[in-house]
Amino acid sequence: MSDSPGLSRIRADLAPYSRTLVREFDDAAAAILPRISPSAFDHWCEEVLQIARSSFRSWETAAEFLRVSPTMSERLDEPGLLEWARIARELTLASSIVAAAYIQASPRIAGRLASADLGRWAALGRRLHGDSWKSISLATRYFEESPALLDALGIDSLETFVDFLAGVAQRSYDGAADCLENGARIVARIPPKDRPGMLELVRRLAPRSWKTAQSIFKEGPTLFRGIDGELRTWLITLTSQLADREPDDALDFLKEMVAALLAAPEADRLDLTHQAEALFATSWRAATAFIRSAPAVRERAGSAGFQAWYNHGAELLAESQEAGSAFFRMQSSRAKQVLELVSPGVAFESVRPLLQMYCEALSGRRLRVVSTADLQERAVGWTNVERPATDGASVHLPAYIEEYGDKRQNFAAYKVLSTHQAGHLEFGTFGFDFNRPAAVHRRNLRAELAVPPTGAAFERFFDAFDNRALAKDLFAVAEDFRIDQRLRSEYPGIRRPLSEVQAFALASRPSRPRPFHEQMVELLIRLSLGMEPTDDFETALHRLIAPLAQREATVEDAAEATIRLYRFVAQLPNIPLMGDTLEHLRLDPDDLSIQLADGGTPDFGSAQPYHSPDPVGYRDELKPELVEAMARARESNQQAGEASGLSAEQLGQLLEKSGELDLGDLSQGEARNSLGTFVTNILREAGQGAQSGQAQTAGEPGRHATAVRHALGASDPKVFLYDEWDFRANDYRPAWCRLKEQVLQEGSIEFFERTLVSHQALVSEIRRQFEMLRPEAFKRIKNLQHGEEFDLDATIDAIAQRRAGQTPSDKLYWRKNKSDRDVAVAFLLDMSASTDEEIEERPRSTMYVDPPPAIRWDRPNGWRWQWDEPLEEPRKRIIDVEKESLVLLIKALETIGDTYGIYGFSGYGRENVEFFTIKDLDERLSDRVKRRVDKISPVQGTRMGPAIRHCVTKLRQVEAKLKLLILLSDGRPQDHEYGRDRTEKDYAIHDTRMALLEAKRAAIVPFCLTVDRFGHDYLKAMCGDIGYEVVYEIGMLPKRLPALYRRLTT
Amino acid sequence: MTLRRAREVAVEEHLIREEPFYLPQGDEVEIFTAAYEQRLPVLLKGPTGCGKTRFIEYMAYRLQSHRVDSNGEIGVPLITVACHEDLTASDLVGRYLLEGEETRWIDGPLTKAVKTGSICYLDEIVEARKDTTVLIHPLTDHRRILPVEKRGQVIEAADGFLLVISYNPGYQSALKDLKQSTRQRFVAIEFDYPPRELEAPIIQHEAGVSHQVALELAKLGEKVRNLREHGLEEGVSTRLLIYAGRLIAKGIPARRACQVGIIWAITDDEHVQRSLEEVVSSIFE
Ligand SMILES: Nc1ncnc2c1ncn2[C@@H]1O[C@H](COP(=O)(O)OP(=O)(O)OP(=O)(O)O)[C@@H](O)[C@H]1O
Ligand SMILES: [Mg+2]
Repeated sequence: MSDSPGLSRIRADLAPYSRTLVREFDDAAAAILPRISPSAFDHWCEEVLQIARSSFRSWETAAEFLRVSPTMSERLDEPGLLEWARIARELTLASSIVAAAYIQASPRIAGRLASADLGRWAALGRRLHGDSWKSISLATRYFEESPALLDALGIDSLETFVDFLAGVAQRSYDGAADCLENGARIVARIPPKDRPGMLELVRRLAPRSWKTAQSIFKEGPTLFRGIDGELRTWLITLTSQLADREPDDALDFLKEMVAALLAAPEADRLDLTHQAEALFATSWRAATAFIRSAPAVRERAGSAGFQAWYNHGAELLAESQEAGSAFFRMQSSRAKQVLELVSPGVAFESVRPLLQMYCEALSGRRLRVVSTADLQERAVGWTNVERPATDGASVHLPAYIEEYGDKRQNFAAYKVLSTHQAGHLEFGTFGFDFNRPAAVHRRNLRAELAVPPTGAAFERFFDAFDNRALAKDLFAVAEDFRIDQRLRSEYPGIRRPLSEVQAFALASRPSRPRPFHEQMVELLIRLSLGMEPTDDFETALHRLIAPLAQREATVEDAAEATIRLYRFVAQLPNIPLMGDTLEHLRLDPDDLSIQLADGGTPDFGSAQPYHSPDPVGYRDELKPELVEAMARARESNQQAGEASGLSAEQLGQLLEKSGELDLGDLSQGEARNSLGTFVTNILREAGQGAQSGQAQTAGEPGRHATAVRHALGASDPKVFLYDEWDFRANDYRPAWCRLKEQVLQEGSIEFFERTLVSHQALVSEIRRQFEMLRPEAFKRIKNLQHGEEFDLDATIDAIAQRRAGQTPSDKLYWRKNKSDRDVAVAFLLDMSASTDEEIEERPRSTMYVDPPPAIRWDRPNGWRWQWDEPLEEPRKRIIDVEKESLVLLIKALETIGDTYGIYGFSGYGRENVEFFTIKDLDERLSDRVKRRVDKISPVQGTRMGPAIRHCVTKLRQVEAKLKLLILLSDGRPQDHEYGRDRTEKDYAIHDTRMALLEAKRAAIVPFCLTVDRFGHDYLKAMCGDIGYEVVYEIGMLPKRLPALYRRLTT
Repeated sequence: MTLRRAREVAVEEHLIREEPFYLPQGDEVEIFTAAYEQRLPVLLKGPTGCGKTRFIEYMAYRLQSHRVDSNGEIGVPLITVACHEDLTASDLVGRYLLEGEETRWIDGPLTKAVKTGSICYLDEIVEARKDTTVLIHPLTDHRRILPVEKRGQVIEAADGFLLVISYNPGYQSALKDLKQSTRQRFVAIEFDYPPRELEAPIIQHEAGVSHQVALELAKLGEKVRNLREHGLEEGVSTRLLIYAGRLIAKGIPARRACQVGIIWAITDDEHVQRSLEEVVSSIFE
């Protein structure tokens, strides 16, 4: 090594830092010198010195620099080397540790990057380096990781990645470090062509929501599993848009969207993206929800319907994000209605009430029209949810019908199904009497059957046949045929849809089964569906059922026909028929005997076990013996205690013999098991029927009795028993609820007084309004000795009388009298626990309000918008507002002089309906009443039915021209065991509705006022054409209540 | 249709000259005849439009042999008063009128009936004011007298007189119920909508429709009345079925005629309307 003066100066300068440093310098210089120009070498030396000097421990960095320099001088050209050195120096000025990392990483990088890009690479490290020690470690880490990162990303993407890191680092160095550490590994698992997009996405997200960005990055490789190509690109693009809008939601969106896409059939996915993207512009939630719902909707509605459904939702979304998203989630009733409208199919739920009434009208019985799923759930023997069925007391229809072209036809099919079933009830299928003569068949063949002398009709009847299943199938076809024919003559309007449905059923019959018996039953089915008989066999069968087409034919005729059909069919064993083997048989048209044609003996093979042919879709699954058994179970239960009861064992045997339970595919053990279940359920149902038929006597606590937990009563309770309406049974449960009437305790009078003061303005406004009421509403009272004016009629009378020489009456005046207004009103106040809720203080915002169902779907403007008024006094509870309203109302009522009563109710369970009197109808307003108002407070459940019924009882006892019952509530009726289970709401609604109808029948005008803003849902069902109103803003109640009252009574 | 001109007749001369069409539903004709012969007041109970008014007209006609009036005309006049809430006792009994300087007493319908020996039919009696019962009581027991307070008289009823009142228990509220002391002065005949087989010929005759159409209307009536539980307590009256029939007779399609003539007339409840329309469309093609 030459000993130039420059070199020795450097050595001298370096020596103080460390002894080894000089040696390292020498080594490096020796290696480099030959490769570069002297001036460049000087330059290099200068950089070494600078590095070493720049800070306290930067000599270590210099050492590193010296160690790496020779390698770098091999890899870089002269300018490159100097550039590299310059960067090292600059970095050292910022942080010697970072610089060291840079230097260490350099050799590996030099091979990977063009020297021109070296600067970019280093600059990225600079970017990450801020001023804290954490940023130093981040930058250091960057240089350590960068070879791997560069391999995975290339310099361009690396830049994006570092941008992303920098974004995260602004908020969290740890987060950034975490991403950096795992970066190379993660990136490697992302398909290369997605990497730029993905990185771009997280880069945009990072400054806005670093956590989301971090999570997306880390989950990146797995997030998209299953989503490829175009779809993936699309998804990334969309998410990056979200980065600007709702960065926090990006991950949720991605996950939800991926899941939704994966749930959709692969072929449909790309298709859906266009519509989803349009929705996405407004709400990502709507977009994901849309993809989620789309497959099902499309399947149901067909593509035109699907488009219509989408359009409707999109329009809705444009108006309200919340409404639109709920729509696409299929969580709004609107969405279901729209779907229903645009689908060619018809959902049972949407037509259930209609069909219920329809069937009741037709059959003249109280029936339940429910879905087949319900019947299956009851587990009493029917297991097929596809097939309609009736158990004699209810009609069961499938949940959805879509096989008949358009909506009109599908609805018509529902009608045909229900008319047919109602027909069984109207035309007496289950009223079969074994001994009753048939109407059309003259000869009574049943008399010739060998059957037990007693027993249930169907059981006895089918006992007569060796092949019970065959006999039953024949009977079912015969009876169905009779019913259909009867419907044709009785209901001309049903003929056409019935024919259409029959034609459909006929067209979808399976090819003929081979064995003889099955073939005969199949032919019979087809004939019953309107097929014209062509060959001898068909003609013979047709002749046998023809009598059932007569209007007079009864179920006994169907039985007679069954015997004849059976005898005909059972002439031959159930032999398999090859080809068109019927040709080998000859039928004598006179005596219907079957012989082999030309005496030959074709080989028929041996008899086969009998299997019932496929059912006819629109006809119900007829189980006569089961229905009969159920009826027997009910009856025997009603004569409780008598020995005649049907035991479980007997019932089990009966059902097993009947062969009507679908046990076929089950193993012996399973069959026993489900038979047992059926039997238990049938008996239990029968028992329930009996129980609800017995009145419960007062005083004996039922099993629901629970201790009264709240004692607000100030008087000894008077107990009343009320029936409750069970809509499933379509009947009342007698004496079901025990209602205790008590006078409410007294509190302080202060509440009353204070309310009047704090609402002063409103009080006088109400008073003015009520005073205005007087003149119009009040009637003249005639026949008075004193009054406002002469009564013309009476005066003429009087003059005439005087002229006629008689003493006229002096009652010549009339006046308007307020007592003539003659209104009595009972206010019934919901004191349920839910009224304890504080009324929320919401910011002024628009809120979406579900429109009343009466508004038509095709007018999306039917949705109303509503500005929430800021509340006057926050922190109040619902009940407080209700109480205040009452005070104002009392004030108003006193002005006008109407008879009024105020009651509250609550309770727990049917045994504890609590009914509190605040002011009785015949009581006068007193301080005691005012004090009671104070004590109105939330208690427990809301069993509205009995409370309404009790008010009706009270109102019945007063005389008034107009009687009103105003129910003020904060939600739907709800109580312990007020319904089948806790989630069931229908029962309570129906009972309440019935109670309201009872009021109406008692010439009382019921009215429901609720502060439940979602009240429309159930109020429509609960009130029907009974008046109701939803007060959206509870703060408005004090004003609204008197106004409403005014309207109702004028 | 022959054109009929309006004609003024004094109530007491309003005779039923042509035999009204009335199809007996049971033994009501015999009962009423017997009651009339014994001069027992009669209470007709039944829902609206089931034939009470028609029945009383028919009976008035049938009973004509019981009386020959001053002009030599035969017949029992029928004086009908539709009661309403403002109807007072003097509306029934009569009042003085001024004529120039003179006064003239005008008999009310009840007085006229009492004097002329007519049947007085007080339709929907419970609607009337309570003071009318003061009049009814002495007329409907053995006394058969009408006090005319303003003239200081009592009128003993002419022989042919009979008081008949009607009452629809269906929509009466508890307080409008008839008092027992009033009720227990009458023989009560209960009416209801006739069964299908009897209602059909009525519709056929009254509406002039074919037997088939009449039968189907009667069937519809039966189905609607099956829905009493669903807020249709009043069912549908024979009168409305006849209306629908008349519309059909004039060429209105049956389904439409039932919609406007029956369904929309009996209920405003949309759901019930829809269900009934389905019933109609099953019955009529
Ligand atoms: N038994 C019947 N015979 C003939 N026509 C009848 C019969 N029953 C009802 N009608 C017909 O029904 C119509 C209505 O009957 P009507 O006017 O007598 O009823 P109502 O009982 O008096 O009703 P409301 O109580 O409303 O006055 C009659 O005009 C008549 O056409
Ligand atoms: Mg009448």
